[in-house]
Amino acid sequence: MSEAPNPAATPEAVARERRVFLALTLLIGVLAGLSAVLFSLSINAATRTFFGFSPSGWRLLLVPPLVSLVTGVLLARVFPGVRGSGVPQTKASFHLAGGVIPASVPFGKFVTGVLCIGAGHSIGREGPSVQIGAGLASAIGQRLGLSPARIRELVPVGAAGALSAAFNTPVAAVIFTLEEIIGDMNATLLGSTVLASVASVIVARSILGNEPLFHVPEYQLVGPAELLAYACLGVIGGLVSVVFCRGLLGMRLWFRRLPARTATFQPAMGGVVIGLTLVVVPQVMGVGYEYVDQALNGGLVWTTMLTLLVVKLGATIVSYASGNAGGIFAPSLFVGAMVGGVVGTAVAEVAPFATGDPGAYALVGMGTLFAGIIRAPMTSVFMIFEITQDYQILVPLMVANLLSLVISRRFQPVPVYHALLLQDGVQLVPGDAGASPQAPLSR
Amino acid sequence: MPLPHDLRQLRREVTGLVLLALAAMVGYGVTLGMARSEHDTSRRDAAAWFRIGERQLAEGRIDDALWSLRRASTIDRGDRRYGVALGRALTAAGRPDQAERILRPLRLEAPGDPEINLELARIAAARDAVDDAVHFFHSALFGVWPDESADARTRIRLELSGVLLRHGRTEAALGELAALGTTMPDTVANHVAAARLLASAGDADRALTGFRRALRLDAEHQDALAGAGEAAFALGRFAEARRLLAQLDEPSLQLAARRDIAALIVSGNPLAPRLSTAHRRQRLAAALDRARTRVRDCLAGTTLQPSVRARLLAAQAAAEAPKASSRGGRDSMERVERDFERAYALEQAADGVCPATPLDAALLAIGQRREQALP
Repeated sequence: MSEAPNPAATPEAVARERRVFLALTLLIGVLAGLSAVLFSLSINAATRTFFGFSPSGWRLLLVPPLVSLVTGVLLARVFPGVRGSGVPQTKASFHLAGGVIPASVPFGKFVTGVLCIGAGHSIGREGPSVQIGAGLASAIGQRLGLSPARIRELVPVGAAGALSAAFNTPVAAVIFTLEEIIGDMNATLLGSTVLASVASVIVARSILGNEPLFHVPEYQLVGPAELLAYACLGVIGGLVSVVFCRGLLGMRLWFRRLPARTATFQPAMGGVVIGLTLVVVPQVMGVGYEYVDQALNGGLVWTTMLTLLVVKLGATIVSYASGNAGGIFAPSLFVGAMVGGVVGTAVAEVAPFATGDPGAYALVGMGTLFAGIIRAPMTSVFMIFEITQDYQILVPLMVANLLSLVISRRFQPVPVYHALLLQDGVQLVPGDAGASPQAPLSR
Repeated sequence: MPLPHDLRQLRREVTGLVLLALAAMVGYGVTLGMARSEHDTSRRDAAAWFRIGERQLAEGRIDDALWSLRRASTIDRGDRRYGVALGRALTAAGRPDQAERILRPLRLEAPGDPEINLELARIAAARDAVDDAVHFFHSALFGVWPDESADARTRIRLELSGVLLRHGRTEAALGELAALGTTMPDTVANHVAAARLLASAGDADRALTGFRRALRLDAEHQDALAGAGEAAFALGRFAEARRLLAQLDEPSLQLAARRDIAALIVSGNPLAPRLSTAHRRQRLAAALDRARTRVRDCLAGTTLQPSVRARLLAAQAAAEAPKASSRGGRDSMERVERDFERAYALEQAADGVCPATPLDAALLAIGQRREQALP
């Protein structure tokens, strides 16, 4: 538990505040977990409502732009701070705004996120979950009249709780919060985030069961020589990460340069492209974990994986850049699994040494793209470990992650979340320095 | 009197925490209800995809079936039927490695599940891993079937016997077929399947018995008639073979030939019992004449290899050579048998090299049967 004592307060008051904070951390963990589970369930319900059991071509074509017309209005006029992932906004709130997030943000993110992802946009639910959890925590802290320092501390607590439930990966959620939101692996908030993460995952598992996000067979390194193949995957994953980040930032900039009056319709413009895409490749709809699962289990042939890789990459760039509410966690895992699957198949064909199943490469590919795009290598390693419960895959994963990170840094020096904030005019320097808290945090 | 600041703050915080706890409880209830509803819907979706996939699989649309069954097994991982069906479809698609990757973890969850063991047995059999296949087949046999169906166990044992036969383990196959014993449900299909396997294992006697059992249940069953006819023929019961094969509505070319040969044997066998001397002599002369003609016509051809030609010439010379016993003019059975041997030797020499008629096949069959009967 962190220390944020008020020098003027009595020792009794400080002790009481600590106890309240402890209880609050637990409760926020529970609420953040519930919000993440409810968010995920609502997206599923929305998808089923919009598309039915087996959607026709017309439905695939029309639902994304039509729903995006509604979300466009909501995002432009009612909830302007909830476009995009939510992770950059949460970081900015933590570092620049003293952790103050308006109560309308988590609500707005929930509604628009459900509509955007449910309508088939190729974006993820984890980033929004982080913003919803962090927003809930901040709003509760403000409502209870906590000190500004405590309100700020609650933001990563809510974020960790939400992410823990969203991925069913409590350790990775804590690491992500430290690595990405706080930006300090030695942060004093470790105890609070752990507590919230644990409370959240217990709640989520009691509702959804202890099913891992993906069912993955036991993969292992076939031989030391295979590390070369994983190194190749790391290089290719790093390059794909750069393509993804540059494409995303470039297209987002293009949308931002359109006349301001088009902002309401930009999500629908993206919706038109997504509708056309879904008619041809419906697999890229929404989060797409079903197909990640298939790639991990060797259920997709390389041509399908290559198609999904290219189309998902483009669809995610369009969905995100056009200002819809959704994140890039899930798409990066999706694209990574496909990159890994294609590389694994190619390696099996040409390598002069024994190699593992393409599913193993898909698994490492997920981590590689996550490390390259999100720039959270430790989170990536722990997340894959928590998903697979398999130590054997960690060594190739770390090799591939490292190379992906190096290449991504070399060709895309500014991390994608920072770059997104920069496009919004927010200069983020960990430690609160040099930025204006009034900077617009939308998109 | 106003409360002190600390006390007001404490009351505010406690009230806030209690309200939050209440909100968490309500939220939990709502989320749990929604999760259960979502779970039910997902299960229904998965069941629907499963039905679609099974239908596509039955229609031979393997790729479509794979797509549907994958959806079913991904949506509802808790239902092992979907995984097993997906494994079956993958095997049908020629992807046994993938099928095994799906089925192995399922078997860890349910080692006694007969369906999983059966699919794994089929994969092992396709990979020629016979010992593994036998292990999985036995696990399936001794697993708990939902309806304790003897029919299912019979099917498995029959399939296992077929696998064993295909891999040359005839004794083990016969053992499995013997183990079917009285537990096998008394159906035409079961008797025919078991008898076919017995015939493949070379046990024509028990095969004929099995086919006869099937015919007792359905006297016009075409497969049973064909199998029984073949088995009777193999046993040298040519009259029975002719009778059974003659009942076939649309016999294949092979069965029609077998029927004709059986008829020729019955009508032209010089060694048949209870023939008059004249009749026997007439049949013998016809047999010898046919065998000589076959060899002569064959030698007149120009495409024979020198070694074959030499063999035929030697057989022809041996057949034409005067026999000491024939000079006596006694029309004994001994003489009949010697003369038949001459015809049989010619047919043997020409077998596989010279064009054959059903009569040639009949003479060969009579000769082979006679050889088998000799001590």
